[in-house]
Amino acid sequence: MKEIGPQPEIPSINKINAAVDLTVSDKFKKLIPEKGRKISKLVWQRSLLSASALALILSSGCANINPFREEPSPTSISMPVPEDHSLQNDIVLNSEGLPIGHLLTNGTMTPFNIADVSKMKETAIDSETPQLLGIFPSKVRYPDSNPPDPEHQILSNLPEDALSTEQLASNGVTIIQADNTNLSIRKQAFEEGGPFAELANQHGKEKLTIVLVDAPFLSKSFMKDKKYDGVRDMLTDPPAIDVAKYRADAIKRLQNQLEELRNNPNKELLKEYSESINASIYAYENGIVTDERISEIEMSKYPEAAGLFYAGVSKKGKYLDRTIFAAVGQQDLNATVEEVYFDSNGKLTFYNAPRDGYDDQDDIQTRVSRESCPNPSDFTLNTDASVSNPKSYPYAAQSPGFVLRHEVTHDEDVAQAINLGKKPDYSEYDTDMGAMQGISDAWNNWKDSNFTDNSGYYFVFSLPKEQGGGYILTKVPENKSALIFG
Amino acid sequence: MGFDPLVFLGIKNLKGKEMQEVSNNLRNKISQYILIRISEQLPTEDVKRTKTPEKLFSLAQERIPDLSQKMKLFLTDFRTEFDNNIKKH
Repeated sequence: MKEIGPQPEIPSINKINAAVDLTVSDKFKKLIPEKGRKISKLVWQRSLLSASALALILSSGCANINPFREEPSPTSISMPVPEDHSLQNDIVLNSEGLPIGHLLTNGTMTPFNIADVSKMKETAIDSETPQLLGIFPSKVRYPDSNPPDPEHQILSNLPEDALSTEQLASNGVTIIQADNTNLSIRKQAFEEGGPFAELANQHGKEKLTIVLVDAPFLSKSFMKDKKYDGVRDMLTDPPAIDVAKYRADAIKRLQNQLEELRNNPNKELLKEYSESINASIYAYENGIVTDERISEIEMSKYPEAAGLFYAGVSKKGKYLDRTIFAAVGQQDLNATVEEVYFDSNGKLTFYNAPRDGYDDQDDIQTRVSRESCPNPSDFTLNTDASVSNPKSYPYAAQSPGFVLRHEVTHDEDVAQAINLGKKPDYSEYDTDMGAMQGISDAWNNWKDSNFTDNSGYYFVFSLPKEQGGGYILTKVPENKSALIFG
Repeated sequence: MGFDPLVFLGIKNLKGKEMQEVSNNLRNKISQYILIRISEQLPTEDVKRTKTPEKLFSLAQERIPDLSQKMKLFLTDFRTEFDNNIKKH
């Protein structure tokens, strides 16, 4: 009979979880406070609200640690902070160093209840848990992290090959311009191989209307101007968002997270993370996460909300009149807020945080391609999209120029195809890839010409000169101060 | 092939939903640990400017020499510390 030795103990789930918590918190405590505070925000904003984001980080990290895999580094992003950050000057302190009010730009002061403030500081020290005093608009503005360079240049003049309104009309194209953004189209789009070549062949018998809307997504609510009268009703707005419910759910979710922390035997976690969660609750409760922001978050979940291709009733089997909508406005990604709190030692502390309400950022297709003359690597590929899922978007709405290319590709693949008796392709995946092919072709032409021929970027977005002027290729009109090409 | 935290830490005999939950938690916590270790290697100002974990990771790839070697070290450290902490409980 074989003798069996002592078997290794199989740890319980609770034991595993406790050990892993301890492993992380031990390391966390050794970080210097400034880094620790930031990391706690990054980690807890994501881990509690979006575990999948951290899983992704780990996956990408493991590409590097796995000896069997070596993958190229993704494009790095740095975000410099200006030195003139000065909210602290707006918080008025008394002789004991306690804050007594917030000084507004008009010179008036919103007073704090000094008894509450004192109590807050005491609580912070006694409980060794940070106490949030409030959140205030921040003066810090993050500059464009991708400023133009010779490859992504800003031009000072509209290209000479941009067609006039009359020339566009003779080719069947009408543009309803947005309030702050004008679109021009260069002649290359109408030449052989261009997306409007077939339109040009029809000499105005077929008509395409391009509608620009100065908003981060399409909605009738942004199209009240008379100029939209003829096209507004082509849009079907997604179901109305229950903003109040969203807000209440978000607060409840955050409160549950706080409760989980309170019940966690590791009290260090509560100490470290309660302030950031309280800050989020405060932001929702006090309207710092605005109703508009909540609407943006929800609407941004609909990729099609940035652009729409509308083909009217066919006549004798042909779609003679088509309409393309494109949202060319930009969410204010720069906005930050200042959190003011007593840290666990009772020290008054200021923290510049990203504006809250981005906790569902993983689901948001923010428009990040901010350069003129983009190349495919300026866009983020959605790896969940696949050709087998025709409703998936590999790139989606990452810039107005790309939105336009996507919708124009629909025109080619559906309306023009049907009109020519070809088989239409309704796949969003194929359409997105087709649009990216246009970007790729334009970039290759631009690069191969040693950056002298940018004619492949045939969409030109222009903005009023009194707002700064300038011309760039496929630039998102984030600052409303330049002409852009796509 | 993806990273399996259960295999990495030698945790066996879990099944179904239980295995999934533990795996997810471990993945999450190891990610946090790695971010902490990465931030140790970066200047404070750079860490403070970072807005998302993904951007911190991108920054690390840009600024930290031999990051992939360091990542292996971080993970090995995690496993060692985890093993020690399991024994404590």
